[in-house]
Amino acid sequence: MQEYTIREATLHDIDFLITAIIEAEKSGSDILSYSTVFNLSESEVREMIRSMLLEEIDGCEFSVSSYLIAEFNHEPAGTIGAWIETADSPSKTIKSNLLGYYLPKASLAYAARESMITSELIIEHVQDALSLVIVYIAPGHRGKNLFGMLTNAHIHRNSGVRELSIQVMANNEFAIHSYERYGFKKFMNRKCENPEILRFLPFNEKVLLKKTL
Amino acid sequence: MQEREIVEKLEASFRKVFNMNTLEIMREMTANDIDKWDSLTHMLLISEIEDTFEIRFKLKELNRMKNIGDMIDLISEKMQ
Repeated sequence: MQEYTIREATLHDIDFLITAIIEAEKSGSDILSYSTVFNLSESEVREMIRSMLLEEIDGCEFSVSSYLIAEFNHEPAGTIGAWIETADSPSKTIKSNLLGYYLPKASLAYAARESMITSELIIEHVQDALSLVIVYIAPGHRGKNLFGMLTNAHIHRNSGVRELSIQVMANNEFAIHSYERYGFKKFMNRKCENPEILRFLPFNEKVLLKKTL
Repeated sequence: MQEREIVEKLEASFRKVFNMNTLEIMREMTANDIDKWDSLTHMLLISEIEDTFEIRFKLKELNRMKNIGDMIDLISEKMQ
């Protein structure tokens, strides 16, 4: 009987990671925030994410080194990214530097003009906690506890970590239920009442969940 | 360009991006010290600084900057 194995992501996983990032961002909707916020097509976003991952810069969701892969029959079946957030190297700065470096100036100008409202849903990563991001389980492998396996492996990889945090759109009830089953508890939420935000993001409310180890 | 002139132009860039007319920058300030300094405004700030000083940062230079003092030093270095 085949079993799932967990391993570190490598550059060979880039196509899978790009799909994971895009699907996680969409959160079950058709809205890809990197497209809507920066006025780019999905294929342009894919290529931009590829370029950022190829930089191999550590410490954010565009870092191959952040990801563990669940493999089944030598094929990637799921992934989660994670890192310990530090005051010294905030992931938001690393991520913004990568995005800002690869985004066309016209996209930045578009964001400044049209999509500043999306800042209203930003929740800061929890300092010193293991921040889990981009939870993606490929169709056909869902309901097999890959979230638990991958999260356990991330905890093992970051020995000494005392707290986990994860953010999710509030309408993703399936994900929230999975996280709660694992022991996460809702810690805070952020909501934007302006309906304009739905032009750019899949939902108008985000939740931060935490779990103490 | 003297550091004083760099700081003045940099402060103007900060005021423009964060839309705060009285904002005063200091060398030890970081993204944690300005409420509106988030992912999006960080990108806009870097772009504004590049346009103002007519320079282009390398990715590794961006990731080396830990506070506004580092930013001033890097701009000064690139202007020489």
